[in-house]
Amino acid sequence: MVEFCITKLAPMSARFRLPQPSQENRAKQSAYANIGLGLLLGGVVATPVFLFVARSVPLTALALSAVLLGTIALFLDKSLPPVPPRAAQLLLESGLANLSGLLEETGVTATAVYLPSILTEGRPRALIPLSSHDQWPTVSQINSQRLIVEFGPHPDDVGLLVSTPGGGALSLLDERIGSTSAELESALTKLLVGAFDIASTVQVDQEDGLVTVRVGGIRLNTGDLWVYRILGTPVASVVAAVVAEGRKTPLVVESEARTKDVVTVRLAVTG
Amino acid sequence: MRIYNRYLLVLATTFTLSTTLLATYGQDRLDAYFTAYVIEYLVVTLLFVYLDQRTRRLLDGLGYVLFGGFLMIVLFKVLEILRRS
Repeated sequence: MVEFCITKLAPMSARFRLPQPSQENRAKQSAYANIGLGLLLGGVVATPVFLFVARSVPLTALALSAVLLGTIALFLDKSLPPVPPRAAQLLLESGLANLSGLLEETGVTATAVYLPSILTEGRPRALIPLSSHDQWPTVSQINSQRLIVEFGPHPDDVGLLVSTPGGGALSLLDERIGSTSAELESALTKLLVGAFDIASTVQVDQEDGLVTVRVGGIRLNTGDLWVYRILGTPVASVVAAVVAEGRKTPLVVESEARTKDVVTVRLAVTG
Repeated sequence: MRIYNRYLLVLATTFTLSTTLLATYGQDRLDAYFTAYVIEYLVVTLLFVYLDQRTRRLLDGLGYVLFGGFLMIVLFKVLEILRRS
């Protein structure tokens, strides 16, 4: 027990210690913290001056609103993501580049099938069939969490079960996703506009087995990786994962087109 | 975080507009301005429905505090009316 405590309290080698940004550094980096502190302090100082010296109620109210805005800006600073957006993009790109290299080396060309969580026993994932056919594969329940899985009765029904950026994004949604266009639109807007802040508008249209999603005001530029031909770009991946989870059916990214800042993703339901 | 910028900008604009409007009409009660700010804050925060969960929780907390302030003003008003009668 004593040994355990000593081990726990012993200072960690600097080699293994992750750099933790101090509060002061973080405040210096964030514009919200600077604006918030400025408004809060300015408002607190100005309120009694305007009230007791200038005896002006409108100016006092203005100072009060500065205090309120300053507090809100400080709250916004507190809720900023701990990982800076550029670092997050770098991590995403390096992860996808590794997967891209792996897929390119194995010669996989088939489009990935996005699976809802009810078919994968856990978080939603994507299945990349190792052999490509003219038709989309029919995927039944997958009871394995391994990388290489069987998804059908035929011998060549073997594929790679991978996690996608979209599958991870679903954990940011608290509520259950519905299957109507409005519910899908709401979930996608919460993710792409609210949580990730990479788009301005989302529009969903469903017709027969085809789902068309238009994402406007896109602010995420992606390069040309092999993995995008299989999984789609990160935006298409998020769209596909959300729609698959909402409709509770497997689907594939049929096409993806970008014109200026609008990305149109067409999804085909396979199940 | 453009959605945060937009949120702050909308709030700052509404606060400034309501202050100007109330001042133009000669309003000289501080509680009237505060009530206007609280209502504006609650409405604008409600309209920004796509703010992420953590931000929403923090802003909701501030909303409760401001609403508490608003209730205090109402309470003082009621006491004032009762004292007069």
